[in-house]
Amino acid sequence: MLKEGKLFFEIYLHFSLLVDLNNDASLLIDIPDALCERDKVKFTVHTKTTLGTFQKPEFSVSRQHEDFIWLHDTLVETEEYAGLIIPPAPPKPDFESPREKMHKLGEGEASMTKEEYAKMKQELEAEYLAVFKKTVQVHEIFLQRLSSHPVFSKDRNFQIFLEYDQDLSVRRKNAKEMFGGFFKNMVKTADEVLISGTKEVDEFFDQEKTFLLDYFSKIKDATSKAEKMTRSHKNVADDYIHVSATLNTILYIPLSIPLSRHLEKLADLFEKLRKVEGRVASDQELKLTELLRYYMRDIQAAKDLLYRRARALADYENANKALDKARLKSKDVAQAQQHQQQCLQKFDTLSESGKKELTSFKGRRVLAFRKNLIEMAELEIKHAKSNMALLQGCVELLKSN
Amino acid sequence: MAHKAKNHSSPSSPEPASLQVEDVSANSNGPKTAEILIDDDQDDLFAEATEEVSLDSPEREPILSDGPSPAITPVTPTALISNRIEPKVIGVPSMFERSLDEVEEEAGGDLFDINISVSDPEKVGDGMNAYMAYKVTTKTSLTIFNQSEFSVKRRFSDFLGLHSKLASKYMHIGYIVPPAPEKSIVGMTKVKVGKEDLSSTEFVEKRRSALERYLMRTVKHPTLIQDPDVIQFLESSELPRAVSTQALSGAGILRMVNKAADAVNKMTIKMNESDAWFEEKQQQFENLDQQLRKLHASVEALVCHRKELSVNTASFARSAAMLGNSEDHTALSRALSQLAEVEEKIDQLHQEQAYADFYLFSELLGDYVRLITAVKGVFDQRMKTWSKWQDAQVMLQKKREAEAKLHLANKPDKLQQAKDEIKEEIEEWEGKVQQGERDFEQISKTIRKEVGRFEKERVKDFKVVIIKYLESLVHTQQQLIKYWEAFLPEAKAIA
Repeated sequence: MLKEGKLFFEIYLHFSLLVDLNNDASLLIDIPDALCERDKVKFTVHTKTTLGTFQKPEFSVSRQHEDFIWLHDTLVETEEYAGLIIPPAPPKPDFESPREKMHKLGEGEASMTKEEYAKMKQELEAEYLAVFKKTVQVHEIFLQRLSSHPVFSKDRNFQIFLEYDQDLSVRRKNAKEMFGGFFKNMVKTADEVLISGTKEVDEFFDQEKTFLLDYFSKIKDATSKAEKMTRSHKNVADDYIHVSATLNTILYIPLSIPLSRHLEKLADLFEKLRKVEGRVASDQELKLTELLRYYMRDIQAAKDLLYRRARALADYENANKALDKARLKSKDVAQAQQHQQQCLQKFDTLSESGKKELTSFKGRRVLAFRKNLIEMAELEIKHAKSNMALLQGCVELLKSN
Repeated sequence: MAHKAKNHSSPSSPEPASLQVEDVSANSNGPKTAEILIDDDQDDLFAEATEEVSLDSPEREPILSDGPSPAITPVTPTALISNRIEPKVIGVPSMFERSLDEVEEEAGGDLFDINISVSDPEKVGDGMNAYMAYKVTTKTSLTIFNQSEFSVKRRFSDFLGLHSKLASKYMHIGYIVPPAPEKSIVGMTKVKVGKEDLSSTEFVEKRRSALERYLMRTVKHPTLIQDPDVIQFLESSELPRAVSTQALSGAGILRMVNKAADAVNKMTIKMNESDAWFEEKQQQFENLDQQLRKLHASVEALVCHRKELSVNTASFARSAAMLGNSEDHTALSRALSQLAEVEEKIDQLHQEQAYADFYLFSELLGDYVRLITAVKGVFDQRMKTWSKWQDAQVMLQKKREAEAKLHLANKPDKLQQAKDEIKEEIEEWEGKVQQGERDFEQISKTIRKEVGRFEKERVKDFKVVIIKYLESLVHTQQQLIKYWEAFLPEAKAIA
């Protein structure tokens, strides 16, 4: 279907511009298709590579959402990556909203005309499809951010994820037993306290800390408000469907010819208007709500980096105290000194890579906002012009009668 | 779709219209009082017009309705002339109506020049005895009024009082009297108690607008505008206070009419509808009623969602402003603040659009739903009239049977007296049967005309309002384009 194709293309375009994708030919990943079985989505992950580390130059595997989470978690738990911003995990596929609406529609079927019901159903199917495409894209972007990163692309678990032709669920279970999600949970609850608690000597990190903490809460709020706004827009578009359908029903009643003509034009107008309004709503969602949502998650990932650095600093400070103690007691001094050196080194590496990551992150973020805000404004103008043409056309027709 | 209207067969011979016309004036006080105008005011617009009308004019029928040609009982020209000479004997409303219609058509509606505005709501008094006084301004060139421009102060119960009078005078003879706006205890209490909030301001505006539409519809009716109660309402500075308008409210009247209708239906009067036009029209109005209610509900939902959109947009605007403040990249920060300003302006737009959705589209549909109820009421009145006629026929039959019995009886002394009595009664009931038939024919005729006029008015009405509404939508889109085009360079300036 042309409509489907267009929607797909738009989402793809949108997400590919969200982030700087290298599209480095040495490792190309995409999700060409996915299957939706009840609540489970099965993604086909397709890899094309020139790297010798892989067994074949081209291959595909089937993965579930939980596999992506497993991969993300292993990256988070990996000590060496503590100084990097780990790309945010893709959110769980959520078909709750269209499913609920579909249910409500089924209940209200009796009170609608056949055409009205068909149109509402069509809209819902499109919404369902959009959710589906979005979840495919967001999983794809996750993998592409890894593949385009100099460090992550070489990760062993990443390779397993891409290549292992069996079900990953066994491996996932092992991982859970090992870590129990402990580290991840700790990060979630303690990061704010720890980050704001530690005294910051470095000006760069001090500024970043203040900024990220505040920005995160603001962008989270903006995301939820944008979501509400988009949903209201969709409601208005749906109301136009009902108005158009009822006007069409009235046309079945024998009325005077001029009145029938007027009503026909009006019914037709509302049918066209609702399509435009629907596009306004979905474009706003893609360019604004999704943008905010994605960067909200990215900012969380940046905060996680700060947290890890704060942890490393705390470790270093503790190591210092231990060294002083050892010196006092003249016991295990060499050991304590070595430990202190390790901690310092870890902290310094983390700070260095962290600084680089945070700087490039800002650049990425500003570019993405720019691109999407421009596109949103352009689309709003385009849709408003379509609406105006439709409306003015109808007014002319009505006046000329 | 072409329909053939069947002439209903009347039991009595086709009577000349003069009789029929006479009786109408005897029945209602409306037409009677109006006739005085013809004699008094020689400059009366309508009087002049009547001279020109030939009631047999073939042009008349298409003017009256878009539907099938109504079966109008032929009226001889002689009756008309005799009507003019004899001031008492005039079926004034129907005559004037026809001529007014024709005149209206000829002059392209210019002569029907009257405009009413309801404005300046003012609270009078305090506490629970307080009420809102509205200024009613009339601008007109019609000569039935003393001046060309004048204002009076009226309160809501005055409007209800006017409607109740008109309904009691005209509905039972088949005129579609525009319904008055509904009472609202909650809304009015808030205003009385002095709540100066948004909802009470909106309530007053909603009421003001509804009152204006009500008056305009009433004066656009060629018969009603001549009614002395209407003229008095518009013109006189003092108006006797309408007593107990609770029962007489527009809703009250409609309730009465509906109750009557239900009663009629419940009596399982299967009216022998020999006139397909009525059968079809009734069905049409039934369907229209259903669909209009549905449409009204959809538009009410639209108003609600548009208001929600406005609120959510404002909320997002504030959030975006906060985000912009928090943003440490200077150019992006400025762009986000600009985005917040754009969204704030758009929230205003949505709010204004919601007002247009409501006042232009939703209220129009609400008015139509109430009007259709009035139309249905009038159809029910016709059924009542028919049933009264049938009842008279039944009574006449009974009396005739009684008379026949008397002739067969064998009591000579009482017999003559009883015979005389029964003869009187038979005459009485024969008269009632004739009257019943005439009433039925008259109401049928009036309804056909009224429906025709109603349909024409609705088309005009609808077109005007819908164009206005669409233009409001156009305006919103134009503003959107303006706002986003102003924002675009700001977004591009992010470096």
